[in-house]
Amino acid sequence: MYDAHVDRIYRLAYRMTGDEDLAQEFTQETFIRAFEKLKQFRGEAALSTWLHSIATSVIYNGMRKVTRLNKRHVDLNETTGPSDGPAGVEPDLRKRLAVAIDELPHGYKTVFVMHDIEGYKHEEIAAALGVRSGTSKAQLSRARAKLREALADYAEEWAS
Amino acid sequence: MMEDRFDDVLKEAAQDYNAPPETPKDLMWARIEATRQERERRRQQVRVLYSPWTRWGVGIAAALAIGVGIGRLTSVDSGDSIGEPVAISPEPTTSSESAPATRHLAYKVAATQHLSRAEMFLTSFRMNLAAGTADAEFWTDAGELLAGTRLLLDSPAGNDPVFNELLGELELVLVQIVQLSYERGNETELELLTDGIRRKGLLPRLRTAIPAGPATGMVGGVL
Repeated sequence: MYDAHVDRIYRLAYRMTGDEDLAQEFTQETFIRAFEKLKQFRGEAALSTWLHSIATSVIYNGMRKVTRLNKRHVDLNETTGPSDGPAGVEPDLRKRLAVAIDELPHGYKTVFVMHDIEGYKHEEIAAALGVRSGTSKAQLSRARAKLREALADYAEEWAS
Repeated sequence: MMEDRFDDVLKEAAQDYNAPPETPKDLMWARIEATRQERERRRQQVRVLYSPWTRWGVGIAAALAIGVGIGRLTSVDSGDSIGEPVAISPEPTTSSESAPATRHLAYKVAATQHLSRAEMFLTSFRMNLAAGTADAEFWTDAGELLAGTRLLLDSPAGNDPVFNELLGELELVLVQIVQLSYERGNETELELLTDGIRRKGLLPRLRTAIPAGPATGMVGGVL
């Protein structure tokens, strides 16, 4: 089970966190929980789907804790921290896109990362998140709209 | 149309978003194994800590300690010797006899609790062995029961003829059970042992010696 699924779980955890330590921690926790609950797995869903539902839950809860910690860290830095860098330097599309993805609500970001980046199908996403396939599609659509909105000036430039 | 094309551009650009490195499979697996072992060890500790056997053990140890304490306190006042035979008598005691009687009662409570624990253990031991569920905890319990039995035999409770005989036979049976731990799977020994328990009527006699109701209530009564 570990060998067959660890790559996909780790990739998803890394995409969602952008941090090697966190990605490893969340992946490990996913498998530890899976091994503990393996007796409860009834085979109604595919093992992969079941594992991904554990993974998304671990990542979601883990990220909430990290976000709370980071917020405190940022609050402290805001009073004494350095500036964000030289003004007037336009970051390129990838950097701006990364920031825009980071700022997406967690649900939108999860669906966007799973579908548009990692290539999961809507059925897989829906099963892992415990939602309907239509909900997954709607969330992806809203995520893309938010990204377009965030990069509107670039979109205009690109269109022209 | 333009929107769709821009989405494609975004999708392509997003492939670099938090691009994962190679999966550190072995490192994570080692940590998973270590964490699982650690959690299992902790769970085992909690199980042992809260197991009925441990609670009984703690209860018996506490009752013995109380008995020894009362015995030491009262032996100075009453001039009784520690090794005085225990009189298990339903007759009421006079005020001058109340201190040693309390001491004897404390030992009796400890012995009763111990016999109750032994009865539970003997009732389940054959089933555990047959089902193959006799784990390390089971054999530890057998060893602890044997040690407790020997302690009680050397205590004033062992001076009571009824308890003495029961504790003596219990010691013999427990020694055989502990020996079984070294030769697991020896069906002949197991048969001889269970036959011996049946012939001696050990379980019914243990049950007769244990008064009805919770033993802990008796401790409360003593105190």
